[in-house]
Amino acid sequence: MWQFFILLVLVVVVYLPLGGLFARLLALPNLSSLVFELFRDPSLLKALQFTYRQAFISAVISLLVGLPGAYFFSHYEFKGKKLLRNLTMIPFILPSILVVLAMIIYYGQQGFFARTFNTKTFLYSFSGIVLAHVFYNFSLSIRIVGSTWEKLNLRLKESAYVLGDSPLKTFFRVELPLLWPAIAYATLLAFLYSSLSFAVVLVFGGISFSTLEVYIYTLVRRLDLKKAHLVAFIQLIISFFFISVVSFLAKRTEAVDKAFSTFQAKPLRSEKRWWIKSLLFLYFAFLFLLFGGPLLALLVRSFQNRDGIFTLANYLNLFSPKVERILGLPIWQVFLNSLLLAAVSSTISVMLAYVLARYFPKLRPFFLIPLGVSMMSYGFGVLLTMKNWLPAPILMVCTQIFIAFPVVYSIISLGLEEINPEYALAAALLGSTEKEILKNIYLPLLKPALNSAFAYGMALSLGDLSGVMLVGEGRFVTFTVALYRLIGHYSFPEGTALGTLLALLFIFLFILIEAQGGKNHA
Amino acid sequence: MKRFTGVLFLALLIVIMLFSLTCQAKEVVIYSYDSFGQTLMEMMEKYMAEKYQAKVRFVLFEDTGAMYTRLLMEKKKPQADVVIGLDEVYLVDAKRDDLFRAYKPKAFAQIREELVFAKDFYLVPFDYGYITFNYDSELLPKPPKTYAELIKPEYNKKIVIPNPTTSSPGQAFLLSTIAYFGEDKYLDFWKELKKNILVMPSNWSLAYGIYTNGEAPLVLSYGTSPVYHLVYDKTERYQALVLDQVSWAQIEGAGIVKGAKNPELAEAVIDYLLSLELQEALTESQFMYPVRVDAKLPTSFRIAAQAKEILNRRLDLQEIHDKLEQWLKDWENVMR
Amino acid sequence: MLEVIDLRKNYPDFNIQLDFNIKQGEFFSLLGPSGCGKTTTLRLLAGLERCDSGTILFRKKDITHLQPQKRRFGLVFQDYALFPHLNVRENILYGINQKNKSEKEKRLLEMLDLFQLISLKERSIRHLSGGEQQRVALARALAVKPEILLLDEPFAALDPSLRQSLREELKELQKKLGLTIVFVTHSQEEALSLSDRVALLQEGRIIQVAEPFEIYTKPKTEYVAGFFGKVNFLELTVCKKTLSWGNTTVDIDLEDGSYLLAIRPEHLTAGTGVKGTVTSSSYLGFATLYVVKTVFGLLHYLELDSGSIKPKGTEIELSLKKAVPVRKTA
Repeated sequence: MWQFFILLVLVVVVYLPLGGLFARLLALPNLSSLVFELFRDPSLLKALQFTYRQAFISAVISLLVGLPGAYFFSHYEFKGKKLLRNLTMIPFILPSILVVLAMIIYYGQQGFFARTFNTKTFLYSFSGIVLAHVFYNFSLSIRIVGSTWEKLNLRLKESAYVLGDSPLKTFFRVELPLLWPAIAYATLLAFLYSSLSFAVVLVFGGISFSTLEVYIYTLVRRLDLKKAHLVAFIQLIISFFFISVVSFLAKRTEAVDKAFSTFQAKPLRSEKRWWIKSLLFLYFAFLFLLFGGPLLALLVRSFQNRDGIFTLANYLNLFSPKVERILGLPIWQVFLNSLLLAAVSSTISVMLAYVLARYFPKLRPFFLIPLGVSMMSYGFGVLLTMKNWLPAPILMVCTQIFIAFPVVYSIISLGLEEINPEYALAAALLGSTEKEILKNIYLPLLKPALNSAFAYGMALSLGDLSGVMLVGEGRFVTFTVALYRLIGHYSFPEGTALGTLLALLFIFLFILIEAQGGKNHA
Repeated sequence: MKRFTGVLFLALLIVIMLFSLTCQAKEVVIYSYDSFGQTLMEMMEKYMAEKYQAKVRFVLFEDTGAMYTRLLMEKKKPQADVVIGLDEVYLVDAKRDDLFRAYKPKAFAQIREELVFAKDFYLVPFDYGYITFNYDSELLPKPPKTYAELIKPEYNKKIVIPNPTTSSPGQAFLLSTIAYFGEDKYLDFWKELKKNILVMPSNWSLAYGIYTNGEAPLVLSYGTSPVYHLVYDKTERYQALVLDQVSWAQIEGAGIVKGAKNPELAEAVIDYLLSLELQEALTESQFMYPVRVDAKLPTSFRIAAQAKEILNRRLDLQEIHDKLEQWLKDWENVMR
Repeated sequence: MLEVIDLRKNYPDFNIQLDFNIKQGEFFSLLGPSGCGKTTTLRLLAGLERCDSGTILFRKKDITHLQPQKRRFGLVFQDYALFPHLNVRENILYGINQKNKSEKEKRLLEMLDLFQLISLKERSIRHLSGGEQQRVALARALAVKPEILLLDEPFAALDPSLRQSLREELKELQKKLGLTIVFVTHSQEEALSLSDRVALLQEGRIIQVAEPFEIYTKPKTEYVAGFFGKVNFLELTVCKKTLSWGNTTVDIDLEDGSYLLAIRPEHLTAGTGVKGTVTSSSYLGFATLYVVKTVFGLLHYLELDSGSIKPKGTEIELSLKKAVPVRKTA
């Protein structure tokens, strides 16, 4: 019974606002003429086509970039692994303005990369869009595929070797089919995130490339709200179509949990094949060159004044009256607000996701719906349906759940599938209560998945601006609100310092959390 | 698990408390955008508390678009008393949507005349800024002085302009080219300009960030942007320029919401907004010009660029409203 | 057929060093407690682990560094490692690379038939019992006609009653197909009943390789003797080929000297010799095992077909039928 209550919570948080928004839309008397008018606009069709084309390419490349990482992370234990794994998530935490800027500082025509490799202005083109989206999303496949791979029974692979298959053939015949759902979902998430992209597309694509999100935003600016919501609705339907296709294709065979056990990654130093070690080194060098560079550039920039001279002033300024003046509150309060909100909403998301993934596995496509629309459309829904009767703190948490839930849910539900239900059954037969089963079986086995899910929940929430602004009305200042406010007041250097501090804090926090998880295992 | 839930509830409680601290009784509600200066907000709070024993609650939005759509959604049950920061281009929409109540402020006679975009004071102008190019004098010793020079090949890929379809300054610049070149010629200018544009980000913040990080030496910003760098960075490296001595001015208005719960207080807010005290304070807080002719400018404004003529008046607001969508579409076709 | 010469693999706290050979058609068991290195040995044979030094010869050919794919050995893991995304048929066909479809089908049918799996052909792995899974695993390994079949504790995951019958099936299968099998187990009972020869491992070394009868009756060391059931170890002196045993002497074919002798409980019988009192007893059904306090200390004594169980404190006299000298283990 209580499971249905949890389901109801999610319905209220996610589906009520969206339902309210679209129900009003569908009740419009001139709906059909509106639709007709929309589809006569060639730029909409162009935007549709471009949105999903670039999202597809971005998602596939994100997967290809992330897959070797998933392999190395799941098969080897080496120094700095946790640090690296959390570093790859930074693009998720940082607001898009900083990520875009980091890329420009590094790849732009004045950037280190462009000058070293003489690539000129390739950034301001289709490849720039894809590069940025890969930068954002490759960590998804590292983490999601990696945590499945980590648990894949090693003896399956060895059986295939003994039966005559080369490692490559084994990958395609044994590992890929078993990893496939994780791969499919990691790619789906990357695809949907890329399809909602806004700032990246406008900066790097210019006018020549316009996505649905840009199209909707333009409509909203022109105060053509009905059309804007209609396009958002179309966007949602298309996303739902993709979600359904993937969840159909990625359906796991029922015996699949047999493939997973807890096999521990072995230390890299016991790996004797030199070429594996050099591949790993090359791969991380490649990641560093491509994606570490922008972050490093941002870090360096945070220690420079406008004339490029080393200084701590940007950091010190964060605590100065000037910044407090701009933000309206001291910086420590900003961090407190951010972490508190992110931690609370991520925790709730994780708990919701766990219950819903465990008791309503069939509803999965519906749980991924929040990925189909942007915060802007959801925000309208919230204003229409909930703003007047729910207190602000709860509304605020709702918006953050909306952002965090789909990824959190995907990670947890994939993790749950890999747990042999016989464990729970055996425990139940032995007279364990639901609570004991949760504590003794699911929690320990799910630990890596829960960690990842919580990390993504936090990261997504920390990077949110629209949701916080919508409910917080400028008085609840989180890190992202502060960042935009600083930048709006010309304080870009302080903004980079703030971004760097937050990224460091995040990494520190998650290395701590993961270390905690490790101890519990033992 | 239990301990976990406990921590959770405690955290929720703290969030609720943080909120409840900030929301309390009899108050005037002011809508504005997020970068509205904290200094000004505090001045207004203090003034309203001392003079009218009223509280002021600011509700800040991500951008003016979000603010306007909120007003529209709340039309039947208005929540705001005053709105600060809608620029003149919204006037026609606002009148059509019947959102505001005209109010002629006490200091109306001191407002620089060409800035009064609504003669009936449906929206009251309170500050303005020239939308002009800024340049980094270290990277660009020889800046362009005219529109004709701007499209020269020497500025190839050196210009950043916030996207006219998504940002207000960008849109203002598009309008200024229409006003300057005329409806039939502006696209020819853009065709040439296109080669020199490096990137058109979605908003001013990012555009300005790209510029100050040295990626491009020319950016479309405000004539007053260099003032910031003079005041806080103590540098004159960043300069503004006015092409051909003419410029579009972004004129920001304030208005009293129709059906406001506290109309008298709302009027007091508008009057205070136009008081000499606040008008002079907004210069180094908003980095905008005051609308009052008698307001003194701080010395730092010597570096700000000022235009001889405001291009706004060459176009009619109604005309802008009716044709903007088509203009943007035509422009997009050229820029593709 | 398979020769393992001074094969070594070093771990930080554990080393493996092996020498043994396996004949064609032989059922060879690697027996030892957990952690003795028997599974690692199997993995070295399969090529899944790399050795640090030494040689593995297969039909006189050096395969030490040959990849597992090319060894053509069959391997069945303890948990069977059946591919869960494939059904019974697909699992069995997995290793068959033949292009010829009818050949493939023929082999599949042979295997299904051999293991009585015809009716389960299309079934998913999830819906198989433990015994069925084991048969599928064997079928999958044998489908490719391996030169040697390596089995890693194949009965460990099954319940005891099933084990017995499957053990017999395996033995029969081996005879029928003339398989060469390397069998890893920690159960001395399995090793003795199935094997042609048993190798007993201790801490990465083989201590004794012998036929079951020999290894049981003539253990080389204290450890070997102790591994196969209860043993009484006594340090006694042999003088003129006789052993003094309480009131009597027992003939023994040994040179003079002091020996550590292993005496199995069943090699003590009621008779004349050493006197003692029963301190405890456990009834095993076919026999009763007593612990008897004597001048040599506590001795285990197994009495077959006893009419009744002797209560604690009963006086008893034990004669010695057989004693085997063993090397002392440090």
